[in-house]
Amino acid sequence: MQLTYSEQSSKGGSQQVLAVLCACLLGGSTFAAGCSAFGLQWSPAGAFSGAPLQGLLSVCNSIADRLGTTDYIILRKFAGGAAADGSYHPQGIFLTIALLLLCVLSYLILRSGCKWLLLVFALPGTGLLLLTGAAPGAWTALVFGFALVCAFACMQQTEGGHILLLAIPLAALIITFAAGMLIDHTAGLSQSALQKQTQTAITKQLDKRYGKNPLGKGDLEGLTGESLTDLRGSSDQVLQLLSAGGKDKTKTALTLTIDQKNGALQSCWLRGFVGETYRGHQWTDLGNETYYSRRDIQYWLNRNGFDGLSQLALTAQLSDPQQAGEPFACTVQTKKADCSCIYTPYEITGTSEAIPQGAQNYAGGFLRTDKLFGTKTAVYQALPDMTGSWTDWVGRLYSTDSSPQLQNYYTSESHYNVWCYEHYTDVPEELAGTLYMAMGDPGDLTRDHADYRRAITAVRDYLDGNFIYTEKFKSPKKGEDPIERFLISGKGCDAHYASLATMLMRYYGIPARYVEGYLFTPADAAAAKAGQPYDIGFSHAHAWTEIYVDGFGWVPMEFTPGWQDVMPQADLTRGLESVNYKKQNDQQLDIPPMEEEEEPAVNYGKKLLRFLLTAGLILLLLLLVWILQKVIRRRIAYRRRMRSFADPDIRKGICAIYGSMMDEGLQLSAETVEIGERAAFSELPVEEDERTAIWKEYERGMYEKKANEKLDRGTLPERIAAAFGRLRRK
Amino acid sequence: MLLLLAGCGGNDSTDSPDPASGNTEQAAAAQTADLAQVEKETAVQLIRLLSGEEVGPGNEWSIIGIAGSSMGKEAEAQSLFMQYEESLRLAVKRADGVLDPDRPTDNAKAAIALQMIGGDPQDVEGFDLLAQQEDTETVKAQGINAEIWALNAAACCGRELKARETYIEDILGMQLEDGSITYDGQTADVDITAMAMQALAPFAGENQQIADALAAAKGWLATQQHPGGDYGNSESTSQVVMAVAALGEDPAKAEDFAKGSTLLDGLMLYRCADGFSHLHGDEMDVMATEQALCAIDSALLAAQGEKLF
Repeated sequence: MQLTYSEQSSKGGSQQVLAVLCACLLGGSTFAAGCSAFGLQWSPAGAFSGAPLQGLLSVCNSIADRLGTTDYIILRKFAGGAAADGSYHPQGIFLTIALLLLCVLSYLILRSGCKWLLLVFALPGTGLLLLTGAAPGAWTALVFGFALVCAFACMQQTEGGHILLLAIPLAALIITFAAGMLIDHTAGLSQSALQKQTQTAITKQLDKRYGKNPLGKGDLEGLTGESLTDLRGSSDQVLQLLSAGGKDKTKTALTLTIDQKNGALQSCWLRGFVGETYRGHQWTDLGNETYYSRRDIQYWLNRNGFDGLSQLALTAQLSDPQQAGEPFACTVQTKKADCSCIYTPYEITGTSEAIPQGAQNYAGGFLRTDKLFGTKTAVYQALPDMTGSWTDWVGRLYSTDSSPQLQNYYTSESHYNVWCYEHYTDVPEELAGTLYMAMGDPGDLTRDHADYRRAITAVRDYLDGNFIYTEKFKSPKKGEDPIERFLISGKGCDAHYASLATMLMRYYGIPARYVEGYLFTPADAAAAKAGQPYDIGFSHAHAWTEIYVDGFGWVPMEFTPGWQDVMPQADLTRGLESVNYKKQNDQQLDIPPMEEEEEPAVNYGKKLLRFLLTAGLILLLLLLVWILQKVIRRRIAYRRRMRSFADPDIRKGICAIYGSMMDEGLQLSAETVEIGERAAFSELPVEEDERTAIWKEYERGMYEKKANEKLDRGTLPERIAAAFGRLRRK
Repeated sequence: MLLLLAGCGGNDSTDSPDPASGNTEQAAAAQTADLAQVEKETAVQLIRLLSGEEVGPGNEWSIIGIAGSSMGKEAEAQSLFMQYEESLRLAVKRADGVLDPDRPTDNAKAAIALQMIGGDPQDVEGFDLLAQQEDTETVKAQGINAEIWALNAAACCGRELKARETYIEDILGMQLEDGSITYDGQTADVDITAMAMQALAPFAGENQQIADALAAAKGWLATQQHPGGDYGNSESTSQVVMAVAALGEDPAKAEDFAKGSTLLDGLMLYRCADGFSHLHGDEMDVMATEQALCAIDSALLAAQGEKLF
């Protein structure tokens, strides 16, 4: 129908040329924006390189890599899209076809006259810009914006409207936006200011939606004693509750249900936010690019039964399955706590397949939700408490006789071990000097880290002797590092203790991370009943340090005074003397390195079908949007018409009805013509009866017209053939 | 007399009653009300002064003064006290219980300040602040003022020092024939005499020798008073006010110290717009202000039969 309209409104060859130019500009700029956003490789010289199908798979892989790198959106990649060395296959011919298709699509949309369809181009770009880190370059965005304005103007002109009236404000808007990106780009920033601001705003909104974290998710600069006390209560109240139990007046953060069949319930540390690197005065993760680059190794480690998240349980099952006990279901339901974090005990079992639905595994370090509204319920299988006796478990592990399973474990662990030392031993340069002044020479760390017991004791003694716990700590001055502030002032809360302790453990060469989560204390374990939900209040929120013990895994360490008596603490005089990781490493060298298996054959037909189905669904959705807007427009037009027919001025009403009848091409009776002409061109009076008569005539005429059209339209094949005929003529 | 009490930052003297009118009780009540107002204003000034600072060891005079004033219960004061206590805890922790091994007065002052704000000086991060006061060798090495502070701290915290007699004997041994008590055994010193009186006052009833020594010291101090009621500077005047109050006398009424002008009149000579100055006409001095506040606290408490510490 739209084509018919275009055909009717076509005024000559110049408009055709203009439409083709606009279509090329729009298609080309969309193509360029896509290439820029996803890092696709196309150049005129290589426009016909490669094969279409390989190119398609290669493009899919490029998009997957870009989204994985920027937003840790994990999409499946196709083996057929990359060469043996991992490089992408040439994408030239496929991209050229895509470019041509985009131009054709642009032309069809321009000729359709439906301006709404321009959203097909505008929406994906805006979505990418707002929701992901994959954004086109500034110049590309500028040209794309300009192309959209041109397309809009072209369609406006075809309709015979005032181009300038509508196009100017739109152009101004887009040019401002694009210029902003350009300025930002020329300022040498890695991401556009707009994108950063948008992301900051989104992050704030997400924080509001996901719920509050009393300790601020590693943001030491923004942490205040007042907000902490408001949510968690004073340290005296908190410690009383944690140690002796009692009525918790704070809001319920989590509900924990432990389906343990045998034995008394035991305490556990529920790890939530994990601060892996200290950047810009706050603890953050390592960044999506790092996790994404780790994705393949993480995949194969998981295939080999290893995951950093469940390492403790794995070692227990390998070294002493009987002592480890039977795994039980553990359900963590998030109430008021930050539901973007997934709260996990240290003793969970299984690998990526066992993690709760909606959770994303970040390189075996922590779980985070990728759901829009967070994850409210997570179910795990877990073993009873191991953290309170981790030194004993280390002793058991190191004294276990070698077996193929154990050797296989150490092989996997060696990969993870390297990762831990690479990423979790960094101390910011500006802090290193201060730490040296405080702790002295850490010893020769070139071959190995400091002895665990010596390092832990030194850090604990230093913190116990030089700092006091208070919620009345002063916020750092502008530009001052919060950890340095804590070092100077000597006053801080558990977030400061955990932060400094993490740095100090790293200073001794031991991988360490900052953690925020909740404590399920022995007092809670005594009060809770197996299989029944147990409320954990904000009072149980806490920050601590975790260290990586070679061969064994991550274990929580308590360095905050007062809290040291809350959770069971491992006896450092036991177990650690048997640690000889080097010996285990030597064994590991005899084992052939883990070979990366070939990815199972991909059913390309199925993948293509899925792709087409997805594309079809998107098109269907767009069609529905288009139909909806047509219906709405018709409805509005109908209402306007009826309002004009019923105009209080009878003459005007009759004129409106008569005009509509002529526009619609209805057959007019002599009486109708006489009334209409009289109302329109003479000053003779017209009556209400005459309006009623002509109105009825209009309704009858419309009914007949529709009936005739239905007869004329013919069958569906005939209509499709007619549509193609019209297109050909165009 | 009340003109002096009002001082340069005080109320208009024309509003004050004249004791010469014969209505002595009414005049005394008005004088006390004026003094309470001065106490409040001085405490507020000190609180403001400390609010932007890192409050901790070294601010004991201020803490004692504010804690003993009517402002001590206010939120601003409580916040300062909390800061002081936390800083003290940290300092004591870092110093293993001894703030300065060569200056036991630091621990003694901190013990008094902590006691005044409701803390427990005998358990600060597991350390006893008064433990160092038992180390006679160290205390004596610092001088007689350390012995004075040791006795003051013990009395304030309700603790009987094993070395008490030694310190009392040493202080009495430093008294000259004219009744004054010296730091170096030769030169009479108003400050040391007044401070020693504060330290010895709790034991006056137990020992006639002490009572006689106190009477002689008081007599000597009375002879040293200037016509304006002061002792040449604000801090010395404050110490004498505190000494007289420690003896249980109201400094505003003490006959020996009312030769035309009273001790409080003398103290008010040093009052300025934002506190007290060291010398008359100088700018505000923090030490002068905090000691003056302690003196005013003592005077007001003495009028009610109580002691500052």
